[in-house]
Amino acid sequence: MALASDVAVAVLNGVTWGLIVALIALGLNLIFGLLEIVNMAHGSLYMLGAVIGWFVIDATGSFFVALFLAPLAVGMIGVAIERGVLRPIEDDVSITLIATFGLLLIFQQLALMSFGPGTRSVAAPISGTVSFAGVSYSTYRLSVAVVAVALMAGLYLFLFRTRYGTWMRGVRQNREVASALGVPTSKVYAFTFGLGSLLAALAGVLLAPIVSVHHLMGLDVLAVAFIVVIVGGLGSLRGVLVASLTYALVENVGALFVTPVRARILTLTLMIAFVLVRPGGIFEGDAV
Amino acid sequence: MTESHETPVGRVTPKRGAWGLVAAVAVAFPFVAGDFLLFLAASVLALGLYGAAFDLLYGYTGLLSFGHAVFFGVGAYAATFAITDFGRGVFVGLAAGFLATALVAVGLGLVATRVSSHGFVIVTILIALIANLAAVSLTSITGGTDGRSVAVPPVALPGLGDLSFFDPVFRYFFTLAVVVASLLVMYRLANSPVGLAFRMIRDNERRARMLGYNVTAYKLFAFSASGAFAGLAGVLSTYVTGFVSASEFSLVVSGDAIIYTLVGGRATLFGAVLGAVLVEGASNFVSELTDAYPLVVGALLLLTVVFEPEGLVGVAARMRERFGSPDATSAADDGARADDGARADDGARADDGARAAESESGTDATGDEHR
Amino acid sequence: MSDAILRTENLTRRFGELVAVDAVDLEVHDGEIRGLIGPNGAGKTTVFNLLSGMLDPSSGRIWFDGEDITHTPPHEITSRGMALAFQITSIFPELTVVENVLGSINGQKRLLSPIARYSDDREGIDRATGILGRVGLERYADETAENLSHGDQKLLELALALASDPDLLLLDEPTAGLSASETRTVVELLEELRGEVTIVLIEHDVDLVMELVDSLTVLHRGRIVAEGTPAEIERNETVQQVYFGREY
Repeated sequence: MALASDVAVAVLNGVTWGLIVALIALGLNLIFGLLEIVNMAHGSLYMLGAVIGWFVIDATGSFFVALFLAPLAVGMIGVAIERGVLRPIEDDVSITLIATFGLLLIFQQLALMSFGPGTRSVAAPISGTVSFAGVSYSTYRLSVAVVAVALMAGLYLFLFRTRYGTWMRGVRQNREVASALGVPTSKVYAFTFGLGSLLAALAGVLLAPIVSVHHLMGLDVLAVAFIVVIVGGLGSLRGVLVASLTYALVENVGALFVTPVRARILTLTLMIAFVLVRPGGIFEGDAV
Repeated sequence: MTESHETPVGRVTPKRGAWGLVAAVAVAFPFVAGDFLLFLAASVLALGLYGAAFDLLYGYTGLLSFGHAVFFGVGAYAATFAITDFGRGVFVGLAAGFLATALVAVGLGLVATRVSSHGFVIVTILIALIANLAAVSLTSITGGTDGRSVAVPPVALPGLGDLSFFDPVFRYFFTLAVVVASLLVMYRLANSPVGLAFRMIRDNERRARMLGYNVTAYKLFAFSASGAFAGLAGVLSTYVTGFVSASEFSLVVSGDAIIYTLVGGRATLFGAVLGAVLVEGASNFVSELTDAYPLVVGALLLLTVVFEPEGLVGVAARMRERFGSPDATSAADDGARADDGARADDGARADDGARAAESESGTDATGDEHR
Repeated sequence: MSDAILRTENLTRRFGELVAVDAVDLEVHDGEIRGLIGPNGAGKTTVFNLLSGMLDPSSGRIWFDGEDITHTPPHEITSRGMALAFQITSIFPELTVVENVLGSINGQKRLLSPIARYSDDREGIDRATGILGRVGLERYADETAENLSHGDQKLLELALALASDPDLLLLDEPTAGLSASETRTVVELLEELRGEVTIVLIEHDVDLVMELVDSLTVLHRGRIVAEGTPAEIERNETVQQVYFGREY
């Protein structure tokens, strides 16, 4: 029974982690779909969320204040990046990529200088475990999974039920037509980048009690988010969700047999191999 | 606007004069510089080759890669294994680094060129991140971030006897020789019909394909050649420092190649060497900069792409344009006007829905269907 | 007229619900100049994209020179001797004019040298210069292509198509946006090419079409509505209705 419950926990961990990865990757893919910007700083925005969250918790003692403030701050940083850095160079994909890479280095170094080189932990705001059918699982992790699902449902409703969401989908399909129809495209761009950044930071704060906070924590997440976007299909949102869950399940179950780092390397490599077989991703040619 | 003068040694143009000056400085340098400067110069030369190799891919073929750290690292480790584990000499090390990296590049290139153009760069990022993860965690092979020291064997040259890499002057000239030879080979490639094909793909991939070019094959070739020379640079860097570590694989190292090329100017090869000299020179001499090196690189990347995407070579060209030939500027203006004309044409047709749909789906379909 | 150099059967292409090209049976004879006309949105450009392999047809087949080329990639179709000059110029902006044409010539070669200098390729450069002479761009040979005027870029577009030494040339509005004298250059060039190369021409300038072509195919909403000599088409009532009547 011991092995069976290990597997059950690994699967649960996989689902939680997969949902968080999906949250991060959805932001990345939204930004790509609308602005055609491959945002290399996305992982460091996630890291910034966790680091700023740590500072807020340190100052206020409240996890929930951090959960509110840190994503907001990073979202505003995202808007500023779009307006200040990317707007003037948005026509050239490789140039925007290099610029976001510059931002990645800057954010990482700033975090190192303010936060220090070590790892720090954040106490979970909810403690205890839930037991079901002989498997006990952390209440906090379960809550994170629920919050992630709620956030994605909210994102879906936002995209399909609100005016701004409709604008975003319109710009994504055809920016000239959307612009001609009176959609304020420039606002939509800044908003999209801000929203994507906010989602990444939110994931960062939510995960802070589960993983330890570190100035390089964004790099691994960047790799995972990118592979998920590639395998799910550039621009495809449901592809991202499927790929995220697949990735996280394989990695977590794999970690039962080999070290976690090797499990990650193997999973990433497997998914790259998948790209060879199906270069367009799971849902080839998906739009929204 | 090129002035030339007849002299006993032939025609001297400003261009030839500049190259002569560069050569003279490079050869005279060891006789005026101290040991540390010579060490620095040799490692910067290796990094310059690394930048130029990247430029072959990015500047000429238009493919952005964040995976060049992998090539640099693979080259460095291949030479290390050849020397320390198989007891081979310096030249075998160079060949091993070059060939191993070329092989790795072909394999990775097969994946990267299969996906669409945005996918290409993302795949290179992934490759870099995975390789870094692997190199750092496989400490028994790579030595991790603590690294391994490499005892580079001496080179026996006819008439000169055994020359050691501990001798700063020999180390400098050896590096210089390999870098210059590699640059010449890359220069020939860039100016060959294959190099012309690279630039056609950079300028207009769709049209190059229509004209009969097997674009994927050329991209793969550019990726492999660029990777192999980046690997050679990794070997040289190991020879100069006598040290190799998993840090060669870090993403910052990929960023170095980009920054050298951007600072020096794209599609020039030598510009990247110049960029390496400037960036590395600055960060070594201003100690405040050394501490926060990634911050400096990040800021430099932002500043160059936002304010001067053409790099130093672009600044020089603009200066020439402004102060030199008035024709060049007016021709550029004409170009801009011609562009506007073309865009206005598109606009006029866009109101016809079916037609707009036609041309748009046309572009997309080529991307997907015949790759 | 000899055999058909190009033939399509039931050629169809859908974009979602829009049927851009609808069951087109086209037959172009060796050596003729064929005009392809029709109101905007008739599907002319899509037909070209299908013929040149830029788009895959939803159904139907295409034969070129007697061989089925229906799902052949564009670069192979080009090496079999079909060339397309785009309506919106598609050149290599950062290369010089002569490099553009030389690159097009090289595209026909099986293997290119990675070490020889392309600037030493006398034969290729002479050919490129010759082609530039035919379109009247010789004096701009060493100019960077993006610095050319709009009209000259269109002529360069034509030169790129000619340089691949095609048996069949697809020209999508080669004179659109050209000055009167540039249009003259193109018309004279096409007259010169008559008999040497088979040409299919999309063109909006009716007078020019009537003067140049041997026969006309009229497309409307993706279908062929009429075919015949210029004189027959002028008298055709359907054509008067769908095309000349409404648009002109």
